[in-house]
Amino acid sequence: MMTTPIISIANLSKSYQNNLVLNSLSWDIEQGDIVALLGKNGAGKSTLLETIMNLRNGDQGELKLWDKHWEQLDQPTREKIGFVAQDIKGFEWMRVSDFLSYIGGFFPTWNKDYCEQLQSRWNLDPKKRVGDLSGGQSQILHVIQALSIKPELLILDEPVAHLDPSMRRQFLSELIELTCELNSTVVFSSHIVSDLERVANKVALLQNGIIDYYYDVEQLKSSIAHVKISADIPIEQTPLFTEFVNWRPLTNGATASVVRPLESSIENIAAQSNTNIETTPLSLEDWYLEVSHAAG
Amino acid sequence: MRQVRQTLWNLFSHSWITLIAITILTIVFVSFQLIIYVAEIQQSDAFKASTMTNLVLACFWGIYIGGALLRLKQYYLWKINQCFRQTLVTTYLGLLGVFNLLLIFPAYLNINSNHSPLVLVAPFCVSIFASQVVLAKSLILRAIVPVTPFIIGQLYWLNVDESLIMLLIIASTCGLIYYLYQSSSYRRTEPQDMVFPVASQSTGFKPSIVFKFNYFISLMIANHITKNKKNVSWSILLPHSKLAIFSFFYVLLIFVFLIFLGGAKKSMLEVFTLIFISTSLIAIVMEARQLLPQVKLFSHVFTEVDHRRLKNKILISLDKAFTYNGLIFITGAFLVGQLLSLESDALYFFSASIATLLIAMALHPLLLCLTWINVSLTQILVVSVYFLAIFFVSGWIEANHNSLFYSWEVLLFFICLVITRTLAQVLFWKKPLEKLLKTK
Repeated sequence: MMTTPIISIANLSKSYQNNLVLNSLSWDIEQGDIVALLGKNGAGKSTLLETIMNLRNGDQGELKLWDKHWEQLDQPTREKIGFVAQDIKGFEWMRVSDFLSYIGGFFPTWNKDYCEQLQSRWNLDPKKRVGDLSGGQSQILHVIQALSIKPELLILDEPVAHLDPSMRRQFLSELIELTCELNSTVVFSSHIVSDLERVANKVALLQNGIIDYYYDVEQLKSSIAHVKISADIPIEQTPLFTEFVNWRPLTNGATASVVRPLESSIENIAAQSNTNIETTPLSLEDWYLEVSHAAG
Repeated sequence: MRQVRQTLWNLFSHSWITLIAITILTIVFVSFQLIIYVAEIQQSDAFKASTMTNLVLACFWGIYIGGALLRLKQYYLWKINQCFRQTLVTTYLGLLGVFNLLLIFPAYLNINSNHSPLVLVAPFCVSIFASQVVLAKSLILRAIVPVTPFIIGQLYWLNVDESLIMLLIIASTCGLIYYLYQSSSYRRTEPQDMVFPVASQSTGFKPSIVFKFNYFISLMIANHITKNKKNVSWSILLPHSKLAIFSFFYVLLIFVFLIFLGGAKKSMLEVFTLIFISTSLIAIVMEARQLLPQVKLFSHVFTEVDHRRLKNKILISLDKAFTYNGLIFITGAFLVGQLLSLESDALYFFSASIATLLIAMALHPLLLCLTWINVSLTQILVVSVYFLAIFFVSGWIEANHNSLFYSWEVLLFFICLVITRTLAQVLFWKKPLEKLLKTK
């Protein structure tokens, strides 16, 4: 049975002057998914996440949350959304506890006990002023604020960029707990590919203004590989090998990469091309480098 | 209700030192009003004096509360959570409304004047407009919108009915409140502007236009900038030449208004002198403070232990920026005075501009090395002193216009400025560079 996606984007475009950042982007995100959004610097990840949050307006296209446009979303539904921006300013004069209590007041689902637990677990001094927090502490503060809502949808723009490895690990385990407890949907952008392997069940790659890759992490990990095609002569990339990228002819065959699940198996391709194909599994980090290289 | 209470507290408590300064000013101004009530002053003069002090207080409170609103408005919840938005706006309006009504009501009751009851909302309207000093999206709007009620008020000299003027001010206030509610301050700069956010933020123009203006003006009046390429001056004062455009802009505005106004020319000049102060003294320093961290990129090239040479270059750059702007403005004022045969008013305007320029040059090292909160406090004090000085010194200028530049008072004023500048400069030199570059 088809379920209605929590986030549904159709043909969304957004440009800044002559720079087309989102180019008729279409994307559906299902309930309970933890989606890692990857992309180069300037690919438009923040623009996309902030457009999903209705903080930016797309030039054209359609965006729906829970099958409704933003203007149709009622207040209780809006209050189910948590958000952490890449760089949050403001509230510098407030103490941490005042900030959390103030913002928490606007969310009926705010869990004060959980918020205090997170503060003590992550060593955030409630008496410290927001303006005196370091970059990492400030990020933790806003992550705590977003998690304490107990959101059904959590949008995080580079939430772990300033966190040390231990804090990152704790934050990721909180995310997993949250999704297990509430079946929440999480979309987060990150450059730290190792993190997404630990927490995300889906990975999306934004490049050239579209979601170029969107796969189940396990499915992707089992498919991606570096391949060596052995032959007596150099092999050119024929239509049989169109699904391979970064093709490099060698004197005795060629090398290439498989960066997405193939329509037919490697064995089939080897049999049809009358070659011997050796595969070496790729890590997600290597996969990211390969697809970035393929995109130029 | 708890949210309103907390918002109220947050609007009040965002800058304690400034709050204390404004509270002291309020007490002083209210005491001044009490003196007016008991003194045997003509009713119309008493009401005018009382209203003027109330309007000044309304401006201060508008700027202070507006500053807090801006900081809360920048949070993403403003865009997506109606409850957050409504709570902020209602608390902001309620706070300014009650406060300003409390200020003006005793004066209205105690002084038997024939003014329209609509005058009661004047301080509230002025507060809302004054908030735009911080809330408006560009420096041009920050300079123009707050003086709108005063400009509308000038219609009084064209014999327009007081009630009609008040209705106009109230209507424009309603429009401004609607705009305030609808507009968002989340990420004011778009990504395409991020390279030079200040360029677009402070003018409202596209960066490319600002750069063209800068290039044109730097060719015309600051040729050395292009000779020295991207030097310290360029780094900390990228927008300084467009501030020179402001000077042209204000001279033009003054010219147009003076043509339309038969009487009360001096009153207009007072208003515009105040604008000039806010754009030159405050705007240039504040923009330089924002841009100062850019010096981090090449400060290591200046090898002296105390970075004296770099610090001197920063100070000289600002001195030059003030001089360009001041000279353009003063020349413009002189030309307007000549063209409209307003020699005596032009003299008043000319001397006020020169004084502003000198005060700016004396104080800017101090404003560069103070913390943000103390800068707000200093600005309030400077503007307050100026406001009072404009009204008290204008009479003195008129009485001494023949020997204006040869009097001992002027000499004393000049000596005070030199001492202030020396002390401020020593403070600036002594402040470690890393602390100077952290200023926001």
